Amino acid sequence: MAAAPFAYELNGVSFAYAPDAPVLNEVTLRIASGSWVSIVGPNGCGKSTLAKLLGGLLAANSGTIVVEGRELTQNSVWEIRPRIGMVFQNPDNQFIGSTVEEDIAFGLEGRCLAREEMRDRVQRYAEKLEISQLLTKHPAELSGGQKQRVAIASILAMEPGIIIFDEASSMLDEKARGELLQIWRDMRGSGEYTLISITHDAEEIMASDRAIVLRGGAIAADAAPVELFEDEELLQACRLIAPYRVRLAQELRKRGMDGEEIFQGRQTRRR
Amino acid sequence: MAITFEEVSYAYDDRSLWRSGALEGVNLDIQPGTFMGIAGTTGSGKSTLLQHFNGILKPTAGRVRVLDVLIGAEEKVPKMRELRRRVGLVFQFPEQQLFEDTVEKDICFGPLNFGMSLAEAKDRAKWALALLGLDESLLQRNPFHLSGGQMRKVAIASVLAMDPEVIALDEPTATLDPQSRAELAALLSKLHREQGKTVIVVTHRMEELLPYVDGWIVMKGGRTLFQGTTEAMVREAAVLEQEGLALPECITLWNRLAAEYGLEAEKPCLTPESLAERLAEVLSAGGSLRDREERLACGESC
Repeated sequence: MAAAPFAYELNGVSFAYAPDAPVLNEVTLRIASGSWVSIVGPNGCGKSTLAKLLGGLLAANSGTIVVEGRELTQNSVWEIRPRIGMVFQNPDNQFIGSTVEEDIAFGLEGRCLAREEMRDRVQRYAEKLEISQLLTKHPAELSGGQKQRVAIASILAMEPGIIIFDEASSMLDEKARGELLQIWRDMRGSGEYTLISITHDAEEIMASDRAIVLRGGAIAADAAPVELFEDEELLQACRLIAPYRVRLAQELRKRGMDGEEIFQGRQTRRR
Repeated sequence: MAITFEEVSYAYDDRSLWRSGALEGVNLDIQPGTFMGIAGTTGSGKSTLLQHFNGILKPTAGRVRVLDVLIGAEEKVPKMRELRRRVGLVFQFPEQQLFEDTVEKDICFGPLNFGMSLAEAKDRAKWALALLGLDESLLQRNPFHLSGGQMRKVAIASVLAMDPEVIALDEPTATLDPQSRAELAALLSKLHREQGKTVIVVTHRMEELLPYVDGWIVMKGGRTLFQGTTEAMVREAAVLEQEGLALPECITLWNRLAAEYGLEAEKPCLTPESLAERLAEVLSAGGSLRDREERLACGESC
């Protein structure tokens, strides 16, 4: 649904679990439909709380959240939530079915879809995430990366327009993480999804369109990932570390060498 | 020897139709006072291996020796209480091992259980919290009201508070912010260097431990694919990658540059600083980078 130019418009959103300890303070931001946004920041800065607010799992204490042009309220949340999919850190926590197939179908059953439609979607999204051969398996038989693929397939099968990933790659090994990154790139490329990813991973942030840095419950910076990783002070403040390649380029520059040439050398040789 | 495995196999549901082998004939030697990293893809047996370190799992074949305790498949299970104080295990989701209503009680639980006085245990709790860089004000907070990363640190503190001789952690850094991860690695290294602890860490992010560890164990399909020093692992990189292990960029980039500039025999430079320094030396000795690149490009097109 590309009708609304913004997937999210937040205006002065505040939230606290307890009155004396505010978690988010007057957060105002906009997220364009079809974009891929990373939300970053130190542990305890309110990232996951923001994700839950965006997903309609928590209600803001004050301020407004507008999703694709409609304000999120107690009444509208039930119509808005089907537009939003969430994938969490530990896929084990969101398995329900006793086989992968059942698990993907679970959400669809909740939507009361026709059996044929359900079968079709299970097949289609299993193929898309290359897990067709796993449909009859029990979730416990899968590796971490496979589980996360199943979790994503289950969400995609519901055909949401917005998907929120809350540290979805943090439990994956390096290889599975690389594969997940590719899945995200494909999703971003398709233009059908707005991706919101809460992450500490430098490579993931680098691959996204925009990084929103949270600190102490407020937005500390909103920048292109490249700018973020060039800003030493900001990195320190949000406790991030730039990708290896960026750090190496900086060190080379300090010594009067051009990192780009070294990396470009790599590409020409690859061809 | 801190930990020795002799032909250790472990199968879940052994002697049943559903038997699934998680470890197959593993041999290991981990010297006391070393810092080891364990790597391998998900499902390669890393966590199963770790759970043998303090007798949570008993091998279904072979023998495990941890400190002075022998746990064999054929032998009667020895008393584990003392071993469990001396070997601290931090599981994959340490926040799930929290249960008390204040952080202080949670951290004190282990030390109290192993016979420390309350005052002593409270001191320990403060000490451990400070080690993890958490503020003392957290002591009276409910651990379940903390953020995911803070809960993780509290859980790690509760294991360190028991002052174990061997500390084994299963992916302790996942979900921590990058600087907290770097700090935790540095802290473990400090415990290892200054207090002579044996530290064993399962990780998916090898880059973080590379500056500190003495050696690596790489697992695949329940077997050890590699055991040796970081240097040896860097040399074996091609083989390990063929076996499906994804190596961090600092290793792949070093190998590529080492091949390019003839540095293969040297100690690998795996930090941006050391690599940049080494490249600066090489390049100032052997003409400018541009010349080299042109020569290489020319060599390729010819």
